[in-house]
Amino acid sequence: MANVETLTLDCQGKETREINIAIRKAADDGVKAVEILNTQARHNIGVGILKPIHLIYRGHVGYYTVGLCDNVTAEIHGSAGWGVGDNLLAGEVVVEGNAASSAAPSLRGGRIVVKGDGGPRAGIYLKSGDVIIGGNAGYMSGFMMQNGRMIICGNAAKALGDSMYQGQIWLGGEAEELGSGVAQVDPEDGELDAVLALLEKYKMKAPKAFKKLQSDKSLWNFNKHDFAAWKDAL
Amino acid sequence: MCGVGGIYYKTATHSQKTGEIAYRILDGIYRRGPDSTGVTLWHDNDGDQLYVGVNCDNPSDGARVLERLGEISTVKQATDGAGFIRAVVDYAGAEADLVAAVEDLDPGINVASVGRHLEVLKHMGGVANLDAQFDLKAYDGRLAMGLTRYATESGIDFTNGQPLTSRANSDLAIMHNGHITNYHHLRSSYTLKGYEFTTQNDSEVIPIMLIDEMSKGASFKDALHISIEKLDGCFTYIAVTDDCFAVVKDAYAAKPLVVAETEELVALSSDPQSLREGVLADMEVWEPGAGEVHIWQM
Repeated sequence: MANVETLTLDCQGKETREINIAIRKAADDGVKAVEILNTQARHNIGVGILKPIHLIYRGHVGYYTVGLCDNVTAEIHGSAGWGVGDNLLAGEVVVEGNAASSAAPSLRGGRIVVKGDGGPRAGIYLKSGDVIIGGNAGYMSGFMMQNGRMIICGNAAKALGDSMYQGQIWLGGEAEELGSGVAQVDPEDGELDAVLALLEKYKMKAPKAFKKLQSDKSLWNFNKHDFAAWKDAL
Repeated sequence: MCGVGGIYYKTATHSQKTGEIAYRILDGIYRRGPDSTGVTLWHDNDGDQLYVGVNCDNPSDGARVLERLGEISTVKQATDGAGFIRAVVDYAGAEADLVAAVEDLDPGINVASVGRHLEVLKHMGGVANLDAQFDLKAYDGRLAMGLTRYATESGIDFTNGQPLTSRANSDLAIMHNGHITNYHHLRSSYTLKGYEFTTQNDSEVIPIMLIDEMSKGASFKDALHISIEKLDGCFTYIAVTDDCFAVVKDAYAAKPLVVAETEELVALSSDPQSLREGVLADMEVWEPGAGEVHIWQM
């Protein structure tokens, strides 16, 4: 199969494990891309793939799509269920539709792009890499992020970036409420241009302006005199 | 874990059988709750008939229950589902008297619901068992919402299975996925107020809370919002009344639920795959957010 450029894989009638083994084998064989048909919002399609390959999902996908992968790139022509791109080490996932709860959890590298809206807790425990949301972001997005960059073109629900350690959140719209320990800061030279260039790359419409948010470090060290701040943190 | 889901048709005539869609949706979330399955069916009842559901600890008690129902009411239809009795009766007296007459038979017999528009059906295991007993697939009314139960707070039996209604108003059924962590406290306070709890299920506090808030003047919608404030824990629940249904999510959006809506129908499910398998179409779905209440008027 080494010379096959794109393999077509129809999920109809196949067990999840069978599908993942087929994708893994394609990656081992050096196949460039796998086009996955009849995804029908099924869960765990394309997980644990550790060699470079490009996945094209034709339809909506369920939970944990492109989870626990390394060096995988994917385009999802539909919406994604919970935890898309869970713990991705390197690579890229582009979701053309919306993403449900906890998109890109514990992302360690690479990039997750959601062209529609993100559900609650997008970018939770973000450790490195980029999470881009074209529409609005749900409750508690960027919760406890430890590094990396989150770009939200639309509005954000409550508790944006709550208890974040480091990293940046770029917000195009308004946040219903910032999370504990989050402050707006002035961008440094070139930072905004890099954000705009990224949106341009994915042909996403940039908002009129961006606010840069980051940790105000108030929760970095426990201070009993400031107990109220700790009570509010989620 | 539990799964919730179902279907509502906006018009009386529709392209697929309501019961068949509900069956497929509940079958798709079977793994979220393999202990028992229950469903709330809505009926366009303009007469005096009541939809009675009775839990029996002893599956062979069905004949006694049906006999008693026959003594006090006119039984128009009845099914002994080996542990759960379904009956449609004509009854002119007070609902409390009917409940008392049935429950006097045996401590292991208790009335699950007495609805004028809502009928509750339950069975152990998956929806296939429920369908085998009560022919869910034959239902072709406008609303069928159900729950697949993964029991965490109370026993795996008919009494503690969902959907749950309240003695105070059987035309309000809830299907709840999650835990209510402050329910002991709430239950004590509602018991002191005179509300009767008939199960050990934490979810039972939800219909009672809604009824209590409405009795104090809150609208149904307000009561749903108040429940988000007053209930601790994580929950996504569906509430169905005689003329509307609603979806309520806790302030942390910890339990999943997706919605698909067209001009013809509204479909709900804990799992997008079950929803699509249910309606046999690859529909666009959206997920209600944290602390949100969505109501559909029938």
